Amino acid sequence: MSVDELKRGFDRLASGVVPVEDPYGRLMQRKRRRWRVRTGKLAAAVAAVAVSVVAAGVALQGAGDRGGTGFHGWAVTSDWTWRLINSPTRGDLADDAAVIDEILAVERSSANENLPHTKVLFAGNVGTRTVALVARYSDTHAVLDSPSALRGTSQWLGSGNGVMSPVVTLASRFIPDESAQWTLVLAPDGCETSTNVGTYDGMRDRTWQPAPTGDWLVNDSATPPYLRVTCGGVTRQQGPLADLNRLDIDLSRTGLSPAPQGATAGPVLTGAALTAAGVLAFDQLAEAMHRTSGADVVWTGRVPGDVESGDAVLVVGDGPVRPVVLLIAGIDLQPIVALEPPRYGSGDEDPAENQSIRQWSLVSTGSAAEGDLIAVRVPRRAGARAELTDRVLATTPTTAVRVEALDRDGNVVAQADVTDGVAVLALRLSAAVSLNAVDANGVAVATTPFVEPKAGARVFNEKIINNW
Amino acid sequence: MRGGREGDGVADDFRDFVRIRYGDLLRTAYLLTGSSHAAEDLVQSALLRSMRRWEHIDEPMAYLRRAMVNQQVNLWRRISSHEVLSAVLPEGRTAVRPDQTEAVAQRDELLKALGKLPVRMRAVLVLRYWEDLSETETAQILGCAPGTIKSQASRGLARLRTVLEESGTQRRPGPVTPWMVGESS
Repeated sequence: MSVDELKRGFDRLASGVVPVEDPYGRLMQRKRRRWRVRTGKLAAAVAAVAVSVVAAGVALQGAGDRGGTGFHGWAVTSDWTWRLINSPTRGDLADDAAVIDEILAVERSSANENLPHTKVLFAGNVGTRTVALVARYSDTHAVLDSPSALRGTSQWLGSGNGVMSPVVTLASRFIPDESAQWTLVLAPDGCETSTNVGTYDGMRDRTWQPAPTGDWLVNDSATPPYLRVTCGGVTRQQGPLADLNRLDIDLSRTGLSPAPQGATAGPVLTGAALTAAGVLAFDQLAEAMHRTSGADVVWTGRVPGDVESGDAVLVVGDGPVRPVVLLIAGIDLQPIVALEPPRYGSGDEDPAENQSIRQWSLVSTGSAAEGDLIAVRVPRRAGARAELTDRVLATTPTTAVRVEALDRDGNVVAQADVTDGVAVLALRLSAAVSLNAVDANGVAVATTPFVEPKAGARVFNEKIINNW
Repeated sequence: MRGGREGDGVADDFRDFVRIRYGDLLRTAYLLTGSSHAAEDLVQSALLRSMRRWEHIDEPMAYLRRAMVNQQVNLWRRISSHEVLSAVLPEGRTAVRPDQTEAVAQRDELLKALGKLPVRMRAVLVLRYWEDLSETETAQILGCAPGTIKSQASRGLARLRTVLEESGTQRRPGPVTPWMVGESS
């Protein structure tokens, strides 16, 4: 393809894109919606089906957003997804034949010959709307649609082609003009859904409230629920229904401003703005994880060895097992969160391109016991995401000169000298060690356990379960 | 601070900018994402973020291009764009005119081919050949060396060619038909 051919192709593609009549009004509508969400402390985004229900505002001439002859849906890779599709229709309107017919009529308007089967998975009144979750599928592929209409009306707002997974969710924040706050969760027939009640202190088991409806639930709390789904006694999913990969920090609420991005090639976060961003990042993560808040900034500075990174801030919460957040400033204010160890071979980015990723701020999380010895893994960029490294940053009491990591037999498996109050140890991932801060006389002046999940995503060293 | 404006002046400036440039941003976002929904989401998200610091932004279009590209290469947005990419397909073709069928098919094929590029390579092509930015300007937005942009653009074009050939649907470049021109709104 030549440059001219590509330019003509771009012209053809873009020519069908027509903005809404009042883009500023639409933007302010979204801003008000975000404000409502934020004031309700819904700071994190519910991840599932997000894209499928983003407000439609663009008219495409000659090309629809669904249907057509080439789209086969998303490959179904789990038997649990089929089990969800084959489950009976749930919801308080599941037996209302007129509503089901209406939903199916809406679906017929976007029929896709490659997905010949349609199944209403859920139909019910939620918030101010009648909501449906619909699977369209073939023998191998499926998509999730989530049309909704204001109660008592037949003006359905279509949205669809979302990914089918064993558990599907729909959140009110993705429906334009929905004033109520709710999250709908639908699991396969026979599973049990529960949500975390209250705040979790990191010490004991979480307290779970089983949904009276069993395999589906509507949660109307301001914070996205922390969900558990068990099937046959096995916990298949446990974690927050929030997108923790990228945080949305609004410093304007603090009265502070980052350095203007267009005016600097360096990190935008320094000084008070950096610490404020660290606290806001902590707040978002703690809220999503239903953890206690009460954040304290315990250290700011440059992570030893990170010559190209910006300043960092370490924020610690309260409780018997204290949540820890490390934020390293980038050129871009909004941070990405390292949730997992490296996923070897999973990146699709050209390594030569990774230089630009350095503009993002980075966040990692950990946990700490009482005391001044606080340790957290240092995050790094990996393509378009962040991952945990084998470097552990530890803050120490002022008298400490060295930090040692001891295995269960008391052998020193890693150690590092303290510089400016912190040490960085090379410690393999999935560690289960004790960290000792040692003074000049070789006496341990602080000690703390450092125990991590063996694999998978984790926040505050709590494993996020996805076992479908 | 742009123009030294404050308060209502800044708000008016932002409102005027949105009204004038929203369509341009939306078209770029559509080429970056391949989806009308994702495009609007991308534009609105970038605008809302820029709104907070509008008075500090000297070159709004450059800033917003950069913001949109940065957002788009985020992992979850990348997944999202994949989710809807294949959904952007033409409606049933039985009722369209032959030339319309051809145009829709070409559009469809290009979208699908773009969807098979790494997200940053796609961004390079959009910035270079839709926005007509120079290699240096594109490099500034993407935060890499101009040489990287040059190689990415070259590789992107080559990969598009390969994808279209592999699909067996590459069409000979022909004159832009009157229908294609008239398609513009």
